[in-house]
Amino acid sequence: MKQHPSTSRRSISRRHMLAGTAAGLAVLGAPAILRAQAREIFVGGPASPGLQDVLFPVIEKKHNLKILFEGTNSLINLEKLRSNKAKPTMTVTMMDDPVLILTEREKLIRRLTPAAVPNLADVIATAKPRDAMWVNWCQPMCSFSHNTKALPNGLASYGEAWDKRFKDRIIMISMRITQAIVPLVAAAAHATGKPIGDAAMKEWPAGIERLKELRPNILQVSTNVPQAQQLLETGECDLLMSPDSRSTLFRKSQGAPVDQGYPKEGVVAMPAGVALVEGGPNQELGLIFINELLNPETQALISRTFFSRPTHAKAVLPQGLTFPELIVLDWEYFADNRNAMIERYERDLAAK
Amino acid sequence: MSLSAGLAEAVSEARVDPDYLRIEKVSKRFGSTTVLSDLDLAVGRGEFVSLLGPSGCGKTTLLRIVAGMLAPERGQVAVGGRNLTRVQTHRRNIGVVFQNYALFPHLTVAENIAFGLRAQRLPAALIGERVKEALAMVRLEDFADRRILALSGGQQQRVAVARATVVKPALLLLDEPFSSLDRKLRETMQIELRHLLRDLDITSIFVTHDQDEALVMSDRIAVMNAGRIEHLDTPARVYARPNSLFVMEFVGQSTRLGGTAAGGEHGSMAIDTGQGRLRAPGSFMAGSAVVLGIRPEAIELGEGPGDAFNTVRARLRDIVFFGARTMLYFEPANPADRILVDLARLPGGLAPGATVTLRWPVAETLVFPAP
Amino acid sequence: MIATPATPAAAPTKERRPFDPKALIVLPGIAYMALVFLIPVLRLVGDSLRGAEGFSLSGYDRVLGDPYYVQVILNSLQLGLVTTLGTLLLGYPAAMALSRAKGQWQVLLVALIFLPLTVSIIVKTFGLTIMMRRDGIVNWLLVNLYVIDRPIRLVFTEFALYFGMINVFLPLMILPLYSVMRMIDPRLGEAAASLGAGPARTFFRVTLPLTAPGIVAGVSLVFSIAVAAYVTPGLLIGDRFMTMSQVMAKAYLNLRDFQLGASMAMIMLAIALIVIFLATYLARMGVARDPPR
Repeated sequence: MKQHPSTSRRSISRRHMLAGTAAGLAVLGAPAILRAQAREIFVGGPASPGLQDVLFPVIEKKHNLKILFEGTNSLINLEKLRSNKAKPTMTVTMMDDPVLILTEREKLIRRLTPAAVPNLADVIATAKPRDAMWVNWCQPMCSFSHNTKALPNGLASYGEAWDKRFKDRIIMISMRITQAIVPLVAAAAHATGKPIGDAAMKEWPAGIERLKELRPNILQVSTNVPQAQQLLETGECDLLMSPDSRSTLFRKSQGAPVDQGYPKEGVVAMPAGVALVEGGPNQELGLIFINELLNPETQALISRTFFSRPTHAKAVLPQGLTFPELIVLDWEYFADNRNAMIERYERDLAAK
Repeated sequence: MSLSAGLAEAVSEARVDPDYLRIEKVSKRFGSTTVLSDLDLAVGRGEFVSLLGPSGCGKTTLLRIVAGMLAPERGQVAVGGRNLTRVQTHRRNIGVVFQNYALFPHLTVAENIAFGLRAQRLPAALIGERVKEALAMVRLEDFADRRILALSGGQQQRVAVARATVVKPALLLLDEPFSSLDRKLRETMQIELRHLLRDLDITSIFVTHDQDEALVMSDRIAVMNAGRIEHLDTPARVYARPNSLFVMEFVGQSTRLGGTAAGGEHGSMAIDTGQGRLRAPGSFMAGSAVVLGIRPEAIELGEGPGDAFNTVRARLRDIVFFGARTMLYFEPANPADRILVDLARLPGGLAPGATVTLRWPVAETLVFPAP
Repeated sequence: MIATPATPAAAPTKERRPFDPKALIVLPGIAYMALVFLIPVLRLVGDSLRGAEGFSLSGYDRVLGDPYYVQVILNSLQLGLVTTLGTLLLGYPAAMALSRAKGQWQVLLVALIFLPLTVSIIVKTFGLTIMMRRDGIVNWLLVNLYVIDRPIRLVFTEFALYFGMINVFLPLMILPLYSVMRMIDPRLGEAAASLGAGPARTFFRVTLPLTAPGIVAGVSLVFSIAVAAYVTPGLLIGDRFMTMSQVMAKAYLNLRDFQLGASMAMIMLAIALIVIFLATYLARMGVARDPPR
């Protein structure tokens, strides 16, 4: 068998990801019995399609590696790193930046250097946060997703979402999911007149107030993205705010009537990071893995597979895929204020 | 009150109102099976009538139709002149004692008995009084607060009778209420129940497949077969003068001899059997196949005066001792036949293998068409 | 009278019975429950009392002193109670029919009621969401039955929530009811009728008290699972109707506030226990005995 045993649940666990924490907790610490031997690395990351079926086989073949992968959500991944700090079982961890900031603070990851990861030199500056404590292996774009039958041209501005014609036609994504910051920042920008970016993000309470005015239009604040995606595709709602291009453009490529919005206020770069675990097994192989993720050829594959902007400056964009200028946010600020945002979101927006 | 005095009283009352329960032309089918066909039955006030028959004869179906738990396809049921055919069970005022008693397991003895009184919305004080009387009547005063499951089978049966009678039903139906009691207890309870119902003057229909039970308890017995009443009469007459071969075979035991009518006159005829030519009252066309029946206690040992008796010789096969009586089994010439003799006292020296002469009065020879 | 006077059997006395070694068969079950239930619950109690500076009741204070969380508790209670009541009202007659059905009918009915249990709750709930859409079968039915003029929003409404919850939990109500009802002698109803009791009296004085153990079991089972339900409400109504389970998940997974999560969990456990004991008590005291009129 080629895969790590616990990954056989991959396709289901994507659905379970938000719904069933039990499944996630059940795999906590399970690999502790497996020790690194031969050319094996242990990777923890999101349970999203494209990694194990497309990307990893290419890397495994190229470097004669075996990648043992555990797909789960970032916070469970973090919990695993924490509980195994004394004897790390993971070589590499793939997470969103707001969670990677926490791993840095708890000294769970090791800084990357151009010496160990040669491709790092050509990675764009915004993709090497905190002096290359970790690196963004791609930047999915995030704005909103719309049903193309109802809205063939999407929205020209986020502000149009407040229009009465969208009564009960918008699904927001719960602040428990990182992407939800985008509509909040957009609302804050709308309320304060500041452009979308860190300054607007720091005005997020004003954004909450603005979003309160959106409530008649909000069908749901959803913690279940696959369900929300399905309701968008079937026309039960017109706008989903906001999955990123990884799911929207993937579904579009599959023929679903959805598309990524490009509002005039701008599109935000989501941070897909990868880091080397401090003291993890087979670290040299882990560095090879990270370097390979940043290799321009692999970056093109990543861009094609994940519908995301490559972070290596010299990567060639696949045909038919273009990216606007992406706004990069201060994920540390977000990480530190996220709990407060979750509380406000739930109390002021979600409840009926 | 003695049993015979009670009987006489009941019979006289039944004469006053002989159609108290009137079942007319009742028919019932289950799917394609006809269970009852055009059945008529009249029961007098205060009478105790048994429905006796083998399982599947329709007796329980008839009981359920009277109770209103089943609706007949045709015909009607009336009690005291009131047509009940379309009346729901709970408005009929007909008590039922079920085979398994169907006592309410979540209620105490007293609560079970009070159930029907409460349904009648009687004042609480009156209910208490009536329950107390009923408990005394079945001698369960000390068990009032017991749970049903803490009672023996006999006690449960008494509760069931008390519960069904305390509401003073217009008619009481009893569906094999003794079948789950052991023999000794059953015999005691039969007589006890008989007295109780007599004292309460309740008209009762009693379903049973046990002929002894029917004979002991009933004013009249309705022997049922295949959805019809074959014979309705007093126990004594049903036994002594069954009006069909089925009734003779079902009620009590008998000697049975197959034969062919050989002609006769003046209400007496000759029949050729495996035991030779015999005589019987009645008249059948010469050559018709008949069956003779003789109750075992009508037969005696030894020859009798020629004219009034039939005489046969047969070899004794077995002697079975029953205490008060002794039953002798003989070997008939025709293996389909059966010869039984019931003696109060066994003569000395009689042993299996002996060939004996038997006699019985011609007048006690029953004759039926062969089936 | 002929028969011998009956004497009451000796009243049951509280004598100590010798220990029966067969009772030891409960040990594996107790050991298992201690391992997977008792120890985690004790740890939860500990977590709920441990603040940043050691022992503190602030977890409970933050839940019970916050109108938002009180509303969340009320939501969970409402969810549990409506689901329980709905499944009871629908499940009771269904269980009755099931216990009276014979032969092939019974096989068919049992299959209809219990086969849905074999479908994953996630699949079932996703299916329910599809049914609730504007182009779903529920709207189609309502429009074609002239209940509504045009399709209305049903997704993420309380209607959808209870429709789905009752659908998911109905078999759990029917099962204990059915197992009690099939043991009840059908002659008891006939006996009550022969004593002059109409259908209503028979139901309230005979059928209901006798099925009370099944009602208690079904109510306890459905309520305690429904009040803690996570997946089904999450998919059917989501954050519009926050429940205690949602808050616990948020506290543990997102806020990493174990004291909040554990306090909420202990409050939920207390509520479930209270309802179960209440149901048992009511069944014992209320309907089990035939009260004076």
